Formats: sequence, C-alpha cells, structure tokens
Amino acid sequence: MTAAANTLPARTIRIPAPTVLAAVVVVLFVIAAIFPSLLAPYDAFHVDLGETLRPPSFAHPFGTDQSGRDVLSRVVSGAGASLLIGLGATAVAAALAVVLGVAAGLGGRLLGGGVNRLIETLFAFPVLVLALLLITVFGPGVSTLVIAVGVANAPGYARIVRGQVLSVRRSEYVEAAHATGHSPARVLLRHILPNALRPLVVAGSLGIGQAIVWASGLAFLGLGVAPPSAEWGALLNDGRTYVTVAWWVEVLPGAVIVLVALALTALGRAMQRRFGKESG
Amino acid sequence: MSTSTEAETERPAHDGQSAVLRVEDLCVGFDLPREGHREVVHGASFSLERGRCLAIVGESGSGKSVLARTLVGLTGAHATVAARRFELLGKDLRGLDEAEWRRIRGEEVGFVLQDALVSLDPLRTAGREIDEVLRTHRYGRGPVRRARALDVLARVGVPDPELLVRQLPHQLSGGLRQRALIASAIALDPALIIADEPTTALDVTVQATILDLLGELQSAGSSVLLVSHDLAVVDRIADEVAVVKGGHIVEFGATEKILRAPEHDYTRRLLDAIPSANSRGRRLSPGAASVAVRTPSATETVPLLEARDLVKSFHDPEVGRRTVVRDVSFTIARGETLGLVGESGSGKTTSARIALALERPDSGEVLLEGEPWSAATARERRARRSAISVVYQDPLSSFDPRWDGLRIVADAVPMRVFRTRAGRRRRASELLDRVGLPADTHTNPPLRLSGGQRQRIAIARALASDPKTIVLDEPVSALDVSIQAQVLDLLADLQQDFGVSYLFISHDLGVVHHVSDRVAVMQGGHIVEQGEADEIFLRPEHPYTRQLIGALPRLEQEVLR
Repeated sequence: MTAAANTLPARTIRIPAPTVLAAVVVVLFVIAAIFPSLLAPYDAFHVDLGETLRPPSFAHPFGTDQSGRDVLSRVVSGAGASLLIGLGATAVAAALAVVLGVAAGLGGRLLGGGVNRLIETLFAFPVLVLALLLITVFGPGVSTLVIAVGVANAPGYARIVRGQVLSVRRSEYVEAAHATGHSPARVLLRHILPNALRPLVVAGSLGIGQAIVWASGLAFLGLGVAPPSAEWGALLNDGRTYVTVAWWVEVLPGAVIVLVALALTALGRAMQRRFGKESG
Repeated sequence: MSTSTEAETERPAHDGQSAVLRVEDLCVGFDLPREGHREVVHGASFSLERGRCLAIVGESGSGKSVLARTLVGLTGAHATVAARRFELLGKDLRGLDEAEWRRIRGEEVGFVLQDALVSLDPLRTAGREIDEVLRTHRYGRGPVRRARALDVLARVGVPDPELLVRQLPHQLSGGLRQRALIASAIALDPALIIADEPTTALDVTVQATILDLLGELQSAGSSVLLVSHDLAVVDRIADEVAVVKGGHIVEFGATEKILRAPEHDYTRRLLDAIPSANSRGRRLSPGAASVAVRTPSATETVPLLEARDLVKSFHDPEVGRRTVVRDVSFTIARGETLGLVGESGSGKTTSARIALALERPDSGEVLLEGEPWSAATARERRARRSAISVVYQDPLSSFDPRWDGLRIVADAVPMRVFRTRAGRRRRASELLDRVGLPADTHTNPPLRLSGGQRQRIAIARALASDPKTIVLDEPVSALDVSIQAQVLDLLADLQQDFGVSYLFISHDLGVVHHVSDRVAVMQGGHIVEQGEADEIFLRPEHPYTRQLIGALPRLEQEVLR
C-alpha cells in the first residue's frame, strides 16, 4: 500500500531539542573562533597581578588564572586556534583518505592491494601513537600538529572511502554509464567519486570534534601550540600546576572542550540520520 | 480493533456448514500520523468452502495483500478492522486479541509468503524453522516433532527430507525453499492455507510443481486462499476469483465465469493486458489502434549484431571454474526483435553483457554492424558505444542516486550531437516526452516515481544516443500487468518510429512470444533451440522447450481462440 507515499504533504521539519542545543553550542564556538571580542568579557592577555586565582564570580564567570587573566576570555580567544586545528586536521585526513581509498578501491591487484595493506597497517596503530611518532620526527609546532592528527586519522576514513568505491564501481548505474560510452575518467569524476564520498562528508563532520580533542591532548603534552597562546590544550597544560588550589583554571576549560566535542558529534550524527534517510 | 455489532444476517443456503471462511462487509483502515484515517479495504465480502481455492487478484496497491493479512490478524497496531461478519470455521474473528490470533495462525491458518529467501531466517535450518511452529503450538516432545517435520516435508514433495532439515535457506534452490515454507505453513494441518504470491519469484517449471502441490493439498481437504497478480496462475488452480481494485472487490465468482466472460471493465482490461501468442501485433493497453506488423528487413546481408560461438566461464570458489555461456551464437537484423528466454542461471544476462561488450568472452566474438566489437580495444569500443544501449530490469539501481530523470537522460546524449549542456537537456526533455513521462515529473527524483515511470526514463536514456540496437534485460518483469502492457506498447511504437532492433531477455514466455520475431531458448548456457517465434512456441522441437511451454500456466481461452 505505497500509493500514498508519492503525495508527501508539506513537510514541517521537527528538529529534536538535543540537536538544537548542540547547534547553539557549535554556533557559539564558531562565533568565538571568528569574533572573539563579541564573547570575551576582557582582554585574554591582560595581566592583573592583584586579581590572581580568583574563583568564579559574576565579574569572572570562569575565575582568573595565576596571572590574573580572565579564564573565560582565554577560552574564547583559544577557540580560533582549536577550530582551525580541528578543521585543518580533518581536511588533511579527508584528502589523504580520498587518495588512498580511491587507489585501494580502483587500483588493480598490485596497486590496490598494496595501498590497502598500507591502510590496514596504519589503521592498526592507535591514533595518538601515530601522531606522537610524526611529531617526534618533524618537531613540535602548529602545522606539525595539524598534519600529525590528520595523518593519524586518515586510515579510518580511507577504509570508508575504499569500501564505498568498491560498492559504487560495481553498481548498475556505473555500468550503465560505461555502456553509454563515457570515458573511464568521466565515469570516475561524475559517478564514482561523488557517490563514494557522500559518507565521508558525514564521517568528517563527526571527526572534527574528535580531532579537536586529539589536538588538545597533544598540546597538553606540550607538543603543539606553545604558551602564552590560549589554544585549549596549552591552556590546560598551563593550569595543570594550580589544579589543587584553583580547580576552575583546569576544570572549566576542560568542560568547554568536552562540550564542544560533544556538540559537534551530536550535530554530525543528526546530519548522518538525515542523509541516511534521503539516500535510503 | 473495533468491531461492528450489527445483527448477523442469514447466509444463503449454498455455503451452509462447509464454509471455512466467511467475510461480509470487511473494512480495513489505517491511522496514519500525517493523513489521519485512511481506509484501504472497503466492504469486502466473500466466502471460501472446504477443499476449494479462492484467488484474490489485483495489481500492486489494490489492497489484496492487506486483505490477506487481515485474515490472519497481521495488520498491525495502527489498523482498524470492522466487518458485519468475519468467521473462520464458524468462529467469530472480530475483536480477537494478539494471543488468540497467535493460536489461530499456524493451527487453523497457514500463511505462505512470496519469497522464501526473505521470509526464512538465514541462520536457521529448514528443520528448525518447521520445529518452531510445532513447538510454539506445543506439538509433543522433540522426537515427535522431528518425525512430524520429516513427515510434512515428504508431503510437500521434498526428495530428501533428512538432508533438507539440516540445510540453511541459502543452500536450497528457490523451489525447495518455497516447499520448506509451505511445509512450515501446513505443519499443523490448518484448515486454511493463505498463499501470498507463492510462485512469483520462481522459474516457470518450478512454479508448475508448486502449483501442483497446492492443488494436491486442496484435494486432501485444505482450503487455499491464493493472492496473485497472475491471472494464468489463478486460472490453473482457483475455483473462485475475487478481483480487487482500489480496495473494492469489483467482481467475484467462479473462475470459469470471471476469466471467460468477465463483466467488469477492469477485469476485461486486466485480461487484455496479458501478453501472449494471441496478442502479437495487438496493443495491450486500452487506447490507440493496433500496432502495425513489422517486417524486419532480412534483405541486408550484414546483421546489426552477431554473436559467434561465445564461451564465458567465471571463477567459483566452490566448484572451481563454472562455464555459464557455451557456444552461444545468434544474429539480430535491423528492426528485428530477438527474444532470449530461459530460467534463472541459464546464461541469458551474461550473453547480453557480452553483446554489450561489458564482459569479454573467453572465446568466440561479437560483431557490431559487421565489424569486430568484443575484440576491439576499449578506445575503439567507446567511440561506437552509441550504436548499442541497454535497459535493465531495475531502473532505480541503474540511475545515479543523486540525479533526476532529466539529468540521467541528458547525461546519455552524446556530446558530439549536442555540444552545450542546454542542448542536451532540451534533447533529454524531448525524449522524456516521447516515452510518455509527464512534463512536470521530468525533474522529480526517480525514488518518488512509480515503477512504470522509472522504466520510461530508462528507455529514454537508452534512446538518447540514437542506437540501432537496444538490449532489454527483463525490462517489464518488475511491473504490474497493466503497466507492463503500456511499456510493451511503448517499446513496439518506438521500434516502429526509430527502426531499432531489440535483444529482448525475459523469463516470461508470454511476453517473449508477444514481442519477438525470433526466439532463442537458453538452458545451462546453451542455446538449445532458435527460430521464428511462432515456430518455437507452437511446434517446439527440443525437449526443454517443450517442458518450458508445457509448464506455462495459461488461460484456456487462448487455446480456444
């Protein structure tokens, strides 16, 4: 009884409340990253030695740090670096994944098989170990951090791309395109790639939050952005010494990282559900 | 479920005590979240007597499956069922709760579904499948149940029940799977067997044996309620027929009367839409005049497409190499239709793929317009691809999921013909108009179109390169009979207008006889017989062809005509 399925009434899109909440957090995060002055109550680098390590209050919602700087302002000013690192790392990962995944999926037994072995081998390493290895080789720094997190995440995405390429290339519409007489390059660009990369868009949006957490973790270990920059991992590293006397310098920025990562993941999942519906 | 409380009226005398099922004024509706209440079965009335077979006939969306499911209480939580009378073996079925329905299903009514591969649990052996029915209804201890399972499997004609009970669904052939499913439905000797399209997924020879089995069960005293879209199948085993359209039973009576002297317009249209030997050169769908009989030009010396001694084998992990095409040769002349028939796995589709040069033969070759085709290099072939195109059985999977109909067709318009994108789109639009796709649906995503509309897009795409030959791989197998009739008529018109040749692949002998000038019959990778369509169908020589044609259920009136 599917006769009525064709006559869809005007759709009223209902978005569940948690997704709305996640979207609000992400919007605030992006605003903080681009226009920190809109959200930061003080100058993030203004040192006031009379106001050191104050607990959260109305004047300083997140308290102040050991130099009397406003912690909330520092968190806001660090958002830009975190967003850039998250986006950059995910972009590096996705770009590498497309190259590796397509080569593994379309290459013959020799090339495809070889690339696939490489992906499987890299996938066997934990992300953090792989990233640490790369940073050790190339030395710490922002660009190394971005590349390291990106490369470390690439194998997971590459596996998704390879699987998609394998299923799309055997699909009837690709065969139909070959039967029409289109060149292999055209079939690859117009049919195989766009269809195979759809799930990567969703996986990537899920991965941005994850990449921010990895990057913060590495920065916390002193392998990324160096203080006095307010990048979130560096911020945590900075406050580490005072955590026993002033919990807020550590816990509140940490909570923000968790919140942003959660919100990005929740939003990615919501996208995944919508995409899943439409392609199914 | 709500029930009407109206006083029961007296039934006519003729179905007094023997009626297994009596239904009067049955209405089934669904409460849909967005549309509110929608009734899909409107006041159906019928009865079924012991040892008889009633067929419910209709096209998809007619409500026939909902009707069948209502009879076993499987309409779901959102359904409302109301009836003036709704009795099984004299017991009122109105307002039963789920526990009572569960007892009735299996014990009093056995339900057989269309495709046994989907309706059997892939991880459960056939033996356990049957055992579950017995255990649920507390049919004795383990050994007793086991003996019973072997017994019913033997009754449904399984050659080796001891082996079958240990096998998983994927290890069984389609026919054996369907038998196992029927065995689990009759395990408890139900008085009524409801079979929803029980043979639709099966090859014609297997279908014949399953229909025989249903007939045997019926003569052993079971009543059968058959749901089907296939009037020929219905004619073969049903005593009575109810024709359903839009949730109404438009005609109900003895099979003889309904199929020989139909009164309702819709029944007549359904009968007219069936392609067969007698429908050659005639339109199947209502409307315009008859199709002119084509005269393929046999005068040309070089055939459009020629296959010579094709052989193709594939690697099979279980048996090593498996040869699926052996010494296949055929030719197609300009404007001619060659029908390729055979059961599943006979090598039809592989032969077609070789003809399309999508697959390389191990030996033998294909010539396109007298020149090497399968032996040409990929580059040479690409340049000549516009001469041959293809229409698949399932159009949806042959479309890029991101594209609408217009873009799908425009993509196939060769760039050397229309250089600009706008030009290709205009051409695509013309083609879509030509195949009868309404203009306002050209840019709809195919997912939202009907099966017939999707196939029209696929046909427009096949025409886009202005080919001389079109390979049609089961192009109407997934369509309802009236839609199938329209698509076959369209193909005939296009052949006339464009002078294209068809390589028409189908398992449906009626369809093949209707469309083909010449026919090749395939079995086990060989072409066992090849010749003029009438010659093959009326005077088959090869035993396999005879077996195929003998197994074909057909309406008797055709033979008489």
